[in-house]
Amino acid sequence: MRSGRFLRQWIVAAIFGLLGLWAGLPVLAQSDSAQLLPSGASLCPPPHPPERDYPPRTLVIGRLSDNPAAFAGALQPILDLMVRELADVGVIDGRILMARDAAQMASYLRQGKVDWVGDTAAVALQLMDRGNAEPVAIVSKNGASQYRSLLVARSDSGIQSLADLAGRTIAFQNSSSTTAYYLPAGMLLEAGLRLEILSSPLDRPPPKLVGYAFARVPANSAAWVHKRVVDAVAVSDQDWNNPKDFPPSFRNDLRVFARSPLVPRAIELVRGDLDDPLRERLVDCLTGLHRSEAGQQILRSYFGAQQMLPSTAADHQALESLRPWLQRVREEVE
Amino acid sequence: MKGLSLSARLSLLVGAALAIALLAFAGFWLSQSRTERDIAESTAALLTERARDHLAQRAEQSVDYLRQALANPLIYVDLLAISEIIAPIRQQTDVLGVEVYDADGRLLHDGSADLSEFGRTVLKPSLPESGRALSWSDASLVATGRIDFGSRAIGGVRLRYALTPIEAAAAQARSDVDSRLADLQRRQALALLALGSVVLTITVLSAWLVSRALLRPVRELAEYAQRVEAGDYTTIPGSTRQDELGQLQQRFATMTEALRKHESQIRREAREDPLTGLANRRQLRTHLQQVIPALQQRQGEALMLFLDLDRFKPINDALGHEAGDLLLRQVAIELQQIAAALPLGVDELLARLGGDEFLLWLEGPNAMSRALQLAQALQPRLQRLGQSLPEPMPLSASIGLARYPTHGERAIDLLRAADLAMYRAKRAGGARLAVFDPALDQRDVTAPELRLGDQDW
Repeated sequence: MRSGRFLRQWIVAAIFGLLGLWAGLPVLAQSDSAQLLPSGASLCPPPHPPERDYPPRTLVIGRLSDNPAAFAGALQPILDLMVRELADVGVIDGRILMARDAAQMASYLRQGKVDWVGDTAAVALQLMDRGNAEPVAIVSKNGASQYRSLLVARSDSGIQSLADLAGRTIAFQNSSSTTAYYLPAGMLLEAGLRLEILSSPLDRPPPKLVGYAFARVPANSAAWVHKRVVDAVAVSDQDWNNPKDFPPSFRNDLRVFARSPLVPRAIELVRGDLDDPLRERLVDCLTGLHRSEAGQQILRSYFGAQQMLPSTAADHQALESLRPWLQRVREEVE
Repeated sequence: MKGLSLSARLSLLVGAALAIALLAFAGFWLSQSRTERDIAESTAALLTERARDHLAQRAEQSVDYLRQALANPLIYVDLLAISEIIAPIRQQTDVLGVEVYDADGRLLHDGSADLSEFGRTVLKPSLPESGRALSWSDASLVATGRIDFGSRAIGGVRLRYALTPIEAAAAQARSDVDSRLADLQRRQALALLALGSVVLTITVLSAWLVSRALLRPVRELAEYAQRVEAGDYTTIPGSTRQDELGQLQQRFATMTEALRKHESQIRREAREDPLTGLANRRQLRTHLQQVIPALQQRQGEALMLFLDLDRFKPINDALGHEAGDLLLRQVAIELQQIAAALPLGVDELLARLGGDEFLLWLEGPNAMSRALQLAQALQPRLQRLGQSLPEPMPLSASIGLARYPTHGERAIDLLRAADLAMYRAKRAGGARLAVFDPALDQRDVTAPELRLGDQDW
């Protein structure tokens, strides 16, 4: 009888012990996972207490892409950070909105569906013209906030200058690319050549004209020119220097025969009617990210950005200098 | 089999049973082994077949997928897209190569980083209407698919699969099956061995039991029979067994006992006179044949007394046959009593020759005195016997005496001499003893009383 009572007491104790463990485990797990999150310290604390209560709102970041799924991973971290940091101006949530082309994105901007969007110079100009967007920051990568377009051909092709492309073919990347479409196309037009689109890069161009096709990605451009699918390609100096796209085995057989002037690399824009407190806080935060380790990490995930610089008058000027090229390409090519 | 002993037959039977069991075990073992080998082979073949079917299915699915997925990249010569689409297929371990080619059969992409083979002319296969074909070789499976744009062929894709993984898997399966079968065979061998041991033990044990229970008693009986045949009637131990063999042994013992009694009776009847129990003529003859040579050897002396009742025939006729026999028995008893009193030595004998004739053989130096003693003691006893008859009559005996070797050295001579002497006594009136006297008795050689011939002895 006595041992029976002891046994009962032990069983009860064991059950309570297990219950305690069960209740305690989630707490332990939470404390563990809490340490994995960035520390609560704000990367860009508001300079002064909010002047008033802002209505709760969702911050929407936009992007031109034909592959939304691949781009979402690059946008989410910086969006999450901004949502967290901009609570003082009423941001409680964030969303990504993809557009297939500049016209669609411009429409979103006009409708107020997108607050903030980043892209290359040519697209930025279109969004400014058609979507009433305003450039607020310039993105620098690999220590440069500007880049240029390079025209590349095989060393054994005999192509020495733009003029040699008459009766030959060239590959651009896509119709919204600055350095791999607008700039080189503009350069060809400037050189007095006429462009005609090909149904396939394997097609031959009409005599005296330059046939062109879109390669979609730098890797295709590199292969096309190296394998003589096309006679020349236009790429950014950034892609030219990326061995993933242009491996040494390719580059050894290729040469650059023309260069464009430098243009701003990538521009962050906000819609023109974005209210000032949010615009100021957003620009303030974005341009201050590079100051902290956590901020640098977030920047890197954003298409390998290094730093965001507040846009200057010179940047505006550089953008504006592109406008005639763009217009000419649109008029004469498209 | 007819000439074999029971134990040899039993041994043969046991040996045959064991051989049959052994053959059965061996047959079972062989057929089992063959079945198992067949199973292993067919399993490997089946596995290979299944794996080939599966591979063909995979190849067809991959080709179908690639024909769809590669159409747009092919139109745009989007080499990166082609490489991304074929990459996961190239990574499959048994894929030796993926080749995408254009309408002219020139290589567009093989998944390599530098596209070094770009533009090389790939064999342009003639494809069936379905646009897909599989071709097997010893080492590989080649799956080819045409890539269409509308009704126009814009290129194709070719997949090469290695068959070595299938072969390796089949070999592995074969070796797995083999090792499991070997394990099974080991266990079966142990089971067979155990079973065989049990069968062997049971067979040997039962053979021993049969031999012990049947053969040994039978052999013993045979030995007893042999002994009985040799005249040894030593009692056979009775069996405690209740079965047929026990009964047989019991009967055998009973039979042996009966035989023994029967023989001893026959022997006795051969020697004894059935009426008086005295030695008969045959025993007398045998006796004399034994003792006379011995006497001759030691130059001893002996007497033969020939006794004949006087006037027995009228008594027998008057009283009847049964009474005559009774009288003869009584005479014999009297003679025996007198002889016992003499007494008789080992080589001496009282015998009845037949009818009312008796004979006494005495040896030794005091033979004559004892003969006379007997003759004197006999006459009064006979007289008393005669008076005690229902019709009292005078009863006496005539006795003839012959001496060895004086009156003859042969039993026949002695008997003739004693007989002659007895006749002389009878002629003289009976109830007296006469010693053979050649001078008196030789004349009577033609006398009718002389009835003994050589052939009687």
